[in-house]
Amino acid sequence: MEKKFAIMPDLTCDLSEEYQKEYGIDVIMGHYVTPDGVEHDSALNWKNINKEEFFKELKKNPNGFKSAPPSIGECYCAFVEHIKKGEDIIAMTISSTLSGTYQFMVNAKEMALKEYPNAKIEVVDSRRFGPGFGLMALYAAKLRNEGKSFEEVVNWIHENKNRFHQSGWMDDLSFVAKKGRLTHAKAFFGSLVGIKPCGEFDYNGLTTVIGKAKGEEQAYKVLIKYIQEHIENPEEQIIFVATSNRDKQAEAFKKLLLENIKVKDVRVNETFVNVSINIGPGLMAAYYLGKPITEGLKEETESFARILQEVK
Amino acid sequence: MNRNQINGKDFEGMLANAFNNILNREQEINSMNVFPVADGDTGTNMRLTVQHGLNAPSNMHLGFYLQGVAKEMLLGARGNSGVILSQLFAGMAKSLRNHSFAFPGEMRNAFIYGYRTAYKAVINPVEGTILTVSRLGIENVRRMIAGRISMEEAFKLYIDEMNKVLLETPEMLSVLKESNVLDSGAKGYILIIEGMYKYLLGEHIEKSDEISEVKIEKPAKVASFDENSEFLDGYCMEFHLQLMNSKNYKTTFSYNNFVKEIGEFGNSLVTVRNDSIIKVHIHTLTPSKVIDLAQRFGEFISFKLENMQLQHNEFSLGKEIEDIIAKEFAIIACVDGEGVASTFKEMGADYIVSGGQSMNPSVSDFVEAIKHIKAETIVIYPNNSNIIETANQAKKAFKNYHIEIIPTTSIMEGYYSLAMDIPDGDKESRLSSLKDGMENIITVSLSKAVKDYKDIKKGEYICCVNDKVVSGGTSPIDVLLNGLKKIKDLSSRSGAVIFKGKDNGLLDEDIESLFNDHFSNLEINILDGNQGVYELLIGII
Repeated sequence: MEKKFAIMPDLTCDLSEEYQKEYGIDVIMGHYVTPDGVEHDSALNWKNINKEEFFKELKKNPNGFKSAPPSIGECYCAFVEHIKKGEDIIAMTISSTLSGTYQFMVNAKEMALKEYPNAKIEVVDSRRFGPGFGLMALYAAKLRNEGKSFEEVVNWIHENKNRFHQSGWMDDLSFVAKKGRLTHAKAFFGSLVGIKPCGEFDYNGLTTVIGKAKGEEQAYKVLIKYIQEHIENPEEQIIFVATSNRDKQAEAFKKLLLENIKVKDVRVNETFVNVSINIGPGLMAAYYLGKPITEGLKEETESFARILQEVK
Repeated sequence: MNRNQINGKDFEGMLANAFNNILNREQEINSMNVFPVADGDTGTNMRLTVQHGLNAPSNMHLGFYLQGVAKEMLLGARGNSGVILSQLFAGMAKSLRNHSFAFPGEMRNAFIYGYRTAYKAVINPVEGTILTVSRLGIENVRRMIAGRISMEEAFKLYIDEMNKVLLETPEMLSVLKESNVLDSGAKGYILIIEGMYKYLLGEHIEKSDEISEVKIEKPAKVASFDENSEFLDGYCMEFHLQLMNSKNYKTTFSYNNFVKEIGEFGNSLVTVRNDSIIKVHIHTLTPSKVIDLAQRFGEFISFKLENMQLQHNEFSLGKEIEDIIAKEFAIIACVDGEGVASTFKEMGADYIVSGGQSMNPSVSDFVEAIKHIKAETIVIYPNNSNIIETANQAKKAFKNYHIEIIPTTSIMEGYYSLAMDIPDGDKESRLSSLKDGMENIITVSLSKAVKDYKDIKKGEYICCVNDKVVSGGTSPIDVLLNGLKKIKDLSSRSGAVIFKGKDNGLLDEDIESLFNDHFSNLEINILDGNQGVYELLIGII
C-alpha cells in the first residue's frame, strides 16, 4: 500500500502484526525485562514466548517483569527510516501521564529535524494506553487510507481522543495500581473472586473503577447496557474486545455485543507482553468510540450505578 | 425471714449471688445451645453480662444502684442473650429509678418493665426464648403479687411460673424441639433470678470449686468507698478535647496558658497537643472546674472519669492521639482470626473489633472502636447475627454520629460487602454498594461438632450452609463435598473465597481438587484466615 504519511504508534498500542499489515501501521517497538534480569526485545506476537507460562509466572511474580518503552535513539532511527522514503510522520504515543514515551518521541523528532529540516513529524499524545490506543491508531490509519490529509488526521485524533472508551473488567487491579495506571489506588486491589471491577478511561487514559458487578453474568449485562448508552454511530464502528488470558470471556462478550448492538464488527484481540505486564492477567474489555468522557467520570459513574440497579 | 422490701445493698447481694449461680452452671447453659458449634455461648454471655453489672458502684438507694448496674451491663453485654439480659435489667432500673427501696408490687412492676424494654430492643423478637419466659413468667402471676405477699414469695411465684413456661419453649420454637433442648437464654435468666431469690432466703451461693478456668475480673473494691468514706484521692480524669473555631468558643487559644490554668485544679497533669486536639490527663478533686475550663475552647471527643479511691484499674494514659482515625468514611469490622483481620484491613476496614473465637464482642468493645474514629460516616460490620444487636446498642450511645450498621450475618457477607466498595464514591453510593455486596452470598462453614447433633457425634466434622447443618461425618473433605452438593444453585455461581482456620487440617491441594473436580464453574481463592472455630469459612458469590 502506498502511504502518503506514516502512522507510527509505540508498542503499547498492542496492535498485532496482522493489523499492522492490514492497515499499514508501523509500530515502534520497545523492550521488557524478565525476572532473571534479562532484557528482551518486545514483539507484538507470542512467537518467542510461551503465553501460558508467561501469565502463570506473571501472576506469581508480578514485580519480576518490567516493560520499557523505545529509547530516544530507537524512535529517531524509526523516524529516519521513513523520512528517507520521503514520508511525513504522525507518531502516536501512550498517554504522557503514564509514560515518558511522549517526551522521548518529541526529543527524537527534534534530533531528526536537525538532520532533516524539511521532514514533517507530528508527535501526538493519545491520552490512552493499550487496546484503546491501538483502536485510535487503527482509526487514524483508516482515515489516511480513505484519503484524509496529514492535518485532517492529526486534527481528528486531537478532537476525538477523549471519545475512546474502555468498558470491561479487570479481575486483579493490583497490577494496574502498582504500575501507576489506575486512579485513586486506595482500595484493596487484590484478586476479588467473583467481583468484577469495571473500568473506564479517564481523560488521561488512567483506568478508573466506575463500579463493581457481582459475578460475570451481572457484569456482562451491565456492560452491554452501558455501551449501548455511550457508543456513538455503532453501525460504523469496529469494536475491539481485548483479553489478557480471558479468551473464553472475551468470546462470550463478543457474542453478546453482536447480538445487542448493531456494529460493523467486533474483533477479539489478546494483549501482548508489554501491556500484559502492566495490566496483568484478567482484563476483559471492549474499546469503542462514544460520547466524550466527562470530567471526573461523573456521568459515566452515575450511568453505571443506575444500570447496576436496573439489572439486579 | 420474710422481707417486704429490698434496697440497693440488698440488690447488690442478690446480684452477687446470681452471678455465682450462673457461673457455676455456665457450661450447662452453654451446652443447651441449639447449634453444636460454640458460637452461641449463652451461659458465658450471660455470666459476663452479670459480671459487668457487679462493677456498679454500691448505693443504698435501689434506683441509683440499679442505674449503675444497667449501665455496666449494657457496656459489658455480649451476644444476643447478653444484650437482652442487659435490657431486662435496664427496664427494671427505669421502673425503680425513683425508689430507694422496693416493695414486692414494685418489684413486680420492675419485672414487667424489664421484659417490655427487652422486647423493644430486639428487632425481630422470637417467641420461645428468654423474651417469652420473662414475659409470661410475670404476666401469668402478676395478680398474685399483691397485698401482703413477701418479697421471697413474689420471687418464688415468678421463678416457678418461668420454669413452667420454659418447659413449653420447644413447642414454640421448632429448632429447640428438634434438638430436644429448652431455651438456653431463658434458663440462664431463671438461674439469675433464682440466685437473687436464694439470697433473700439467706442461702449464699459460693463459687463451685470445679470452676477453675474461668477468669474473674476483679470488681471494684466497693467496700473502700461508700456513703461514710472521706473522699481524698480524687478522680482520675482523661480526655481528648477538640478545639473549635465557632464563635461560641474562645477564639484565642494559648496552649501554655491552658496548661497553666488546668494545672491549678489538680496534679499528675500530662497534656499533649496535636494540631487542634489536646489530650489531657489529670488527677483532680474538682472535675467540674476542669470541664468548665476545657469547654471554653472546645468539646470532648473522648472522656473518662474514675474515682481513684475505688482502686480501679491502674491509671492508663490510654491511646495516643495518633490512634484516632480521622476521615470522612470509616469502617469498623468484627472478625475472628489474624488473617481475616488483615484481609479486611487491606480491603479498607479502619478498625477491627476482635470477636474472639466465638465472635462475642461486648457493647463496650464497639463503643471503644467508635471513640477512636472521627468520621462523618461510620460503617459497622457485625459479621454475625448475634452481634447485630450489640452493635445497635453501641450505636445508641452516639446519637450525634452518623453510624450505619450493615447487617452482615457472617464474615463472608462482610468480605463481599467490602469488596464492592469504591472508596472514591460519595457517601450514598458507597453505602448502597456495601449493602448490595452482602446480598445473596452463601456462607459455608466446616468445623467440628462440640456436642452430639442428630446423627453427628461430638468431635466429628459438620458442614453448615448459612448456619444450617447440612452434612456431617468423620472425613472433612467428604463432609464438605456433601455439604456443597446440597446447595441448590451452585452451578450458577461464579466464585468462592475460602478462609482457612487456625487448626485447619486440610491441604490447599485437597481443597483445590475438590472444587476443580466437582465445581469447576467456581473460581476459588484460598486465604489464611487463622480463625479459631471454623476450619474453613467459605463465601460463595
